[in-house]
Amino acid sequence: MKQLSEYRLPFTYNTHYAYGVGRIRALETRLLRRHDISRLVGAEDTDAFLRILGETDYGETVPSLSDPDHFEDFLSGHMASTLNLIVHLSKNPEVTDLLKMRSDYYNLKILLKGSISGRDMEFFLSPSGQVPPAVLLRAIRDEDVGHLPGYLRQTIQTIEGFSPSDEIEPQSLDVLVDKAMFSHFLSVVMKVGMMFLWGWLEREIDLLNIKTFVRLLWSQQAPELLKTNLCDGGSLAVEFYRMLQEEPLDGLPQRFGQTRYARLLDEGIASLQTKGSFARLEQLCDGFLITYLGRARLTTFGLEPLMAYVLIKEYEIKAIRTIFTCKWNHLPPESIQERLPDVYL
Amino acid sequence: MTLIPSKQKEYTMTKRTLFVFVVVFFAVTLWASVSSAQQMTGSSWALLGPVALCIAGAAVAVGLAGIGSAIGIGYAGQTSLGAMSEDTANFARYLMLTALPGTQGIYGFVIGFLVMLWSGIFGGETATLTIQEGWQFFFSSIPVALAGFLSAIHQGRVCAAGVEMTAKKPNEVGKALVLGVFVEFYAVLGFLMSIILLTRIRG
Repeated sequence: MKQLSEYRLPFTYNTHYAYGVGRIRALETRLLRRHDISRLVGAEDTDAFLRILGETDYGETVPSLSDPDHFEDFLSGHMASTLNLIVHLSKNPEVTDLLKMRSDYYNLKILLKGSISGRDMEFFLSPSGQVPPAVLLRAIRDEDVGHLPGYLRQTIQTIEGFSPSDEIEPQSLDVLVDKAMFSHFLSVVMKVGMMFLWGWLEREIDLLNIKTFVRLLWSQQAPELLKTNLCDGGSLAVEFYRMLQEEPLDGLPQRFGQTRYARLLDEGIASLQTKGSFARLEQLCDGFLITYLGRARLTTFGLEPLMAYVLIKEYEIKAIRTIFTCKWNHLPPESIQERLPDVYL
Repeated sequence: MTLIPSKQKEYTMTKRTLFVFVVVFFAVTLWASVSSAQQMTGSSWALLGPVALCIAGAAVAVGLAGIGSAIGIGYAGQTSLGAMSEDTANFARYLMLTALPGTQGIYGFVIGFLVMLWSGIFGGETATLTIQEGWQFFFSSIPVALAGFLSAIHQGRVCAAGVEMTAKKPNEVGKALVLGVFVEFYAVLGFLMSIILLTRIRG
């Protein structure tokens, strides 16, 4: 059952974004529709995929496919230009900068994992962050983080404090960076009092914790991992998961019955038990967050529609990347659909 | 953990404008009361009383309704420009929605003009104007001033939302206009009431 707060809209007098929201509403008409995604999924091969993509808003810059790496650059370019537009329209840089900082935290994860495994991870870095990837790369390689922004420096110091040796698990590394990122973001959002983004972060943390929790239960890993692998700041306290650590998977939907995630878990766990795959759970989680972002359509003024547009664009680009990768690997449309959020199907 | 609501500057601005209106209103009232007392005692200041009240009424009607219209058009206009910076195809539709909150300013101007005309200020026939009539002219201006000021701001919001809807569904502009006109209705009521009151003052 949905909670009352699910229906509550932000009551705001903030009319300072009248121009920005007008512009975003015009841009929203160019987002890919369910029909466009279905056509892309049904494309015969990568050439047909690019031809169909060329008929959409991405048409002007669709690359000729000589190298799949170019496609990644093309998508990154689109994401970077969307972010730059929002930052340009923003009158609250402390909030919109968070969108860029997400990429910084992502790059940090990639580079730290690379330094542990000794592999070159440069290809995976995102150019959309506040800190240029090359600067971050040099800082990690030379172990000289003095000139990095405070939030990255602090995160690196926390990780070093957690495990000074190089024996830290990649999964733990992800969790530590995520914890630092969410804690940083929540403090900024709380300071500016932006309920919409607060709700988004709360749900993102909850869903991340739920996925981690279900994975740990599924793989029957040691319960002590629960102590370290869950993030604080969600609407469900970490203690709630600890109470359920002895619970069988079947019983989870019922235990989450009073939360907004009951239906999602019901369907996700049923699919996990029948197919042995987390794809459906992932798909439902993405769909849940996209549905939440849809609330911004009901807001006439304010920063919310701008933030929601960037995040929806991020999902759109993620969906295009997924479809392209599947097409490149000759996967059938059914397998692609399993990997896309419900709202696009 | 509780959230601290951000400062809503727009709300503060509206509150400030209303505050100024209330201060001006009471200042004029005080001044007129003093003038009224002076008229009874035969002071030379007495003749300023009714004329000043009429001028204050006209100023309030034109000023407040005009401020409201400017704010309302500001909202709808900014939203229209934002939408047009990506697609200029719907200019005519946006124009209708943007112009709609401007009517309150016109109503205020008409009432201000009628106050000046019917009180005799335009014709220089204020000698027979009494302090009671001055008050009547002043209060007759209040309906259009207040209804115009507030309805124009809210109509601007409705029209801005209408522009956003039109950006997505250009053929639905008629529905957006109808909803904007609903807000207009209350400005029209204020305007009509001001006219009715004015017609009763000097026969």
